[in-house]
Amino acid sequence: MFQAFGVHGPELTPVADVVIDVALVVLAFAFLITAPRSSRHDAALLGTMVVAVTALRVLMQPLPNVQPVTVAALLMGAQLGARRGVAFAILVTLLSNMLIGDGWWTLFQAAGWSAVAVLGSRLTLMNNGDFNHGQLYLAVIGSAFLFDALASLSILTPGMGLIDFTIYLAHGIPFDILHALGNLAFAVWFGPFVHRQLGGLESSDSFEQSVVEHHVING
Amino acid sequence: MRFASTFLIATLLLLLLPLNAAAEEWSLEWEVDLGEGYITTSPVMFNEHLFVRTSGFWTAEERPQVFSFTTEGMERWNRTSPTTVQHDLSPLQPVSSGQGECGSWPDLLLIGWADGVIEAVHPSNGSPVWSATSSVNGWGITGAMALDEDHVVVPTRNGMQRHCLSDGSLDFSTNLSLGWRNGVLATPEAFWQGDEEGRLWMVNRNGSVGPSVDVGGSIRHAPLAVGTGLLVHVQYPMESKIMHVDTSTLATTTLLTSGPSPAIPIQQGNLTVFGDSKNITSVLCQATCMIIDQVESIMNGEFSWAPSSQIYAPINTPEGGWLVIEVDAQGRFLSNSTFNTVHDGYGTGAPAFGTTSLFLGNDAGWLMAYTNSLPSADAPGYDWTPLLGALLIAIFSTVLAAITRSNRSEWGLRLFTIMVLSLSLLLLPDIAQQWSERLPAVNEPTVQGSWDSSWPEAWLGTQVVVFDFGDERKVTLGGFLGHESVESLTEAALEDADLIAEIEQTDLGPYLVSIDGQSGGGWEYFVDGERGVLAMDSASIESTTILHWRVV
Repeated sequence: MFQAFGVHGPELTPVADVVIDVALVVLAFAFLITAPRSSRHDAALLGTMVVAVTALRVLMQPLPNVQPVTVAALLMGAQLGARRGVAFAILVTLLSNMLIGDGWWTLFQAAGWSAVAVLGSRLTLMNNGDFNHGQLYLAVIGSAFLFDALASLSILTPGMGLIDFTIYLAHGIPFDILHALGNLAFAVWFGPFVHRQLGGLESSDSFEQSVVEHHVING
Repeated sequence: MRFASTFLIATLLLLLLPLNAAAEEWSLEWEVDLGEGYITTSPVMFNEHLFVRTSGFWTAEERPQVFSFTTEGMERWNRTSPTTVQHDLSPLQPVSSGQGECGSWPDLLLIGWADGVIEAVHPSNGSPVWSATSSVNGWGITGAMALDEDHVVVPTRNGMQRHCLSDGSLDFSTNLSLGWRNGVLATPEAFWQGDEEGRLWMVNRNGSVGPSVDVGGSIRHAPLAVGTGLLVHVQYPMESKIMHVDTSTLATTTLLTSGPSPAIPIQQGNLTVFGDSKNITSVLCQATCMIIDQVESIMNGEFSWAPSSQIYAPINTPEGGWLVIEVDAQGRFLSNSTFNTVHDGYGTGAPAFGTTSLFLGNDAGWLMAYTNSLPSADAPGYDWTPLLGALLIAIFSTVLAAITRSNRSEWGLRLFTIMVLSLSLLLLPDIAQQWSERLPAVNEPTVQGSWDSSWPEAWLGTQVVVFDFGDERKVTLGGFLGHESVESLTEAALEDADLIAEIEQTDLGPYLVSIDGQSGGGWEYFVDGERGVLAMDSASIESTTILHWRVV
């Protein structure tokens, strides 16, 4: 399946490429299906977010390491929970990479943004429906380094030691910092907007809470 | 209040930029102790790298070495002669790549050792290209070699030898008499060399010995050609004489009697500067040679010219330092001052100069690098980009201050993030380049980083390019000479291989998108097995390089 080792790890045969893409799609839908149910409106809104963020990523591609997906994945994770956040991250990665370049690295980018979505779901970014701005800004900065480290694992090749990998990561630090600054700008400019757009979608936590309350009240 | 203070700070920052740029200050950038030996000869800058040799010990375990450093002070390689004896005084001789009737050669560093060995090594890694031997009588080579088209003429202990630069093959070897620090002068008509007995020899271009003249004393430098003949600074027990020798009649004229222990004179156009234990003297030769100016100093080593019309002369006293003399075109000494370092002491090596740096070595074995904040005279015109950037910062700061004053802090923060992000995007290429240059390179075991024994031997010591299409197809070309950047070498190789490449200009520099229609996820390069971290127009390469392009 692997033809050779390139800058992002092995160069995939077309079959391997398809296998990885299909596996990621299945994984994304698995996360969506196992997430708490949502209405058609919610599904449409989630789909719209996927398409919109994909388009934004493609548009911003000329700017080195300015990644709108990171902030979006963090907010989706925070607002909708880990499962839908991860599904969002995988779908955006797949769709955007189809347009700007698919390969072995797709797997690691999807993993990186999924990790960011999980991080968002674990942090208290919302406080009574409002942003905890300080924590949000810290989280978007941290998630840039988290994503870059995970995505960089794709370059690991046989014979590449820990020291070489560390040197490789060190070379990328200016780009990591730029990623963090880009995230901060996105969070400041579009954080409240995305929050409002996602307001109609219930988070897994609130959905589970409402189910419990429904049963308790009706019980 | 906040508005006013922000505006004031921004304006001050703006005004400080040109003031700061105008300040001139030499500051110590780095220093390294090269051990027990002296640095007797001047460091040499070649291909933006520094080369220096140590000397002066041959009885204990330590041995003289030749070092190569980056301009940032990182040692690239060193080469030790286990068999050399006595003082290694022969100046290092860099040679740019070229070709002639006796063959082609890559960039070379020629080293003459006191054990009579002549070595040509690759400046990039110190590996040998060729070597030759010469006679030893107490010591071997101690003088300066002379480049002669596709040959080098080496002053040996008892004469001179001429070698082809391509492979070191001996063209001729001529016996004269014993010499010490006696460099050779190559002219279109003949070769000239002095000896310890004060005889100035002419050697014909075919190696046969021509006429000679006895000037008494000792000649311990390469004679200097002037329009009317030759100049030599002859050493006597208690004094020295600057003499003119008419090359057609061999008649000698003493221009000046000065102090003992002459230095190695330096020449620029009609102007020659001499030194000894008493004076530094300028001589201007037009229709005749005339003494122009003198300054008292103890100078027994090598001079060097700074890019700014100054000569640097090592002061050979316990207090040491370097005398900096400003000289005009007529040879007048306009001013002089002393350049001091924290390791001052005896010294005979002159500085080597980089674009904004000077590199000094002394008898204590200290190699020091100083940088100057003032741009050199031949630097390009004033770069207005920082001023423009400062102006933008000032405008943005003013707007931010106004917004903050009106309590619309959300918009203040938004504008602030956009400003920081925009500036970061503008600065990223330079910052990333500077950052990467200071880090070690990442080794990639799957690329061609070393010599392949199946390659033709004619490619040894040249630049080799591999285009790796990833599907067992590789195009390998070699024998390239003199390319200084990855971009230049790549373009030459593409042209030779008749391959068409698509190169896209990005904010970070040119990006190789496809070769021969094969794009994959783009192309990446490796230089000597190390992953390229700069755009190909910014990545410099050595004269001996293996450049590996690989489809992603």
